[in-house]
Amino acid sequence: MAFLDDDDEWAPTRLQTALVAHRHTGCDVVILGLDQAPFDASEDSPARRIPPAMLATREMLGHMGTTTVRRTACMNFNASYRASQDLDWTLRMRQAGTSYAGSAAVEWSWGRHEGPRHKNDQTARIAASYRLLDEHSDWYAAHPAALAYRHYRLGVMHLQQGERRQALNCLMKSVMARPRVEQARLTSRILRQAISGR
Amino acid sequence: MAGHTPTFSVIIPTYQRQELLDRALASVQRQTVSDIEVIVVDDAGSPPATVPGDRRITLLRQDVNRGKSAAINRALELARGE
Repeated sequence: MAFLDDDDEWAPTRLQTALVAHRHTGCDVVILGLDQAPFDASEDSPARRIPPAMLATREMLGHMGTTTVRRTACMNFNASYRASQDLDWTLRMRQAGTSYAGSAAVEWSWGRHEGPRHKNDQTARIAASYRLLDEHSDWYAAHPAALAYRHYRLGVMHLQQGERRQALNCLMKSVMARPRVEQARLTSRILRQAISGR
Repeated sequence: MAGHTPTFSVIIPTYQRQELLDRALASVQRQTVSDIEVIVVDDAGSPPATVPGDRRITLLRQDVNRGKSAAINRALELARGE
């Protein structure tokens, strides 16, 4: 199974690269365009099994347009999600023990446009993030880096909506889950603005 | 093609973006792996989506807008890819 959004495009060898990767690794899921070690873009290997350490720190490894899945391992999407359905799907696939491989090859381009979207506006994305944290609470509890990132993303989205109090709450949770400079810096800035009344 | 298992099923949910859909589909038709089926699911857009005349491409249409997940699930029901 391969997924392509109607506003995205593939390079001509996108499926060929995935096919080689599936056969080379024997994995159920292949994700292209991984930019982290051990997926150095300079290496010749078509793909490698994704190490558990990387699976543990990142909730979403790649856009669905870069993902291919063996039919026998492919779960349905949860149709009640109006945003972040790909993340819910990924977390369920991961919790089912699906094997993952990745490659540095980038053979997909993301469409940037102002046309209509699939009802996934910011409000829907925020609601979906809270729902993910609730429905996958055990997984997030066991993966503090991913928990911190989800709270950080929520904080940023609240901030973009002008919801400073909620943003601060989420950013504080992010820092507490896993202290990182970027999150702490943003939290500090919002806190200073809140104190000064701006 | 009955009973044939294509190497890949390519699933494309779409909603009122015909020009962009045309470009996405063209990029799929250019794939070096040709043993594919393409399932496009129109999520009740208006005007309805159209697809090129290619026996590998199937166009489904939702009766009402149900969202991207439901569109993908409908395609997964039909998909025969390996």
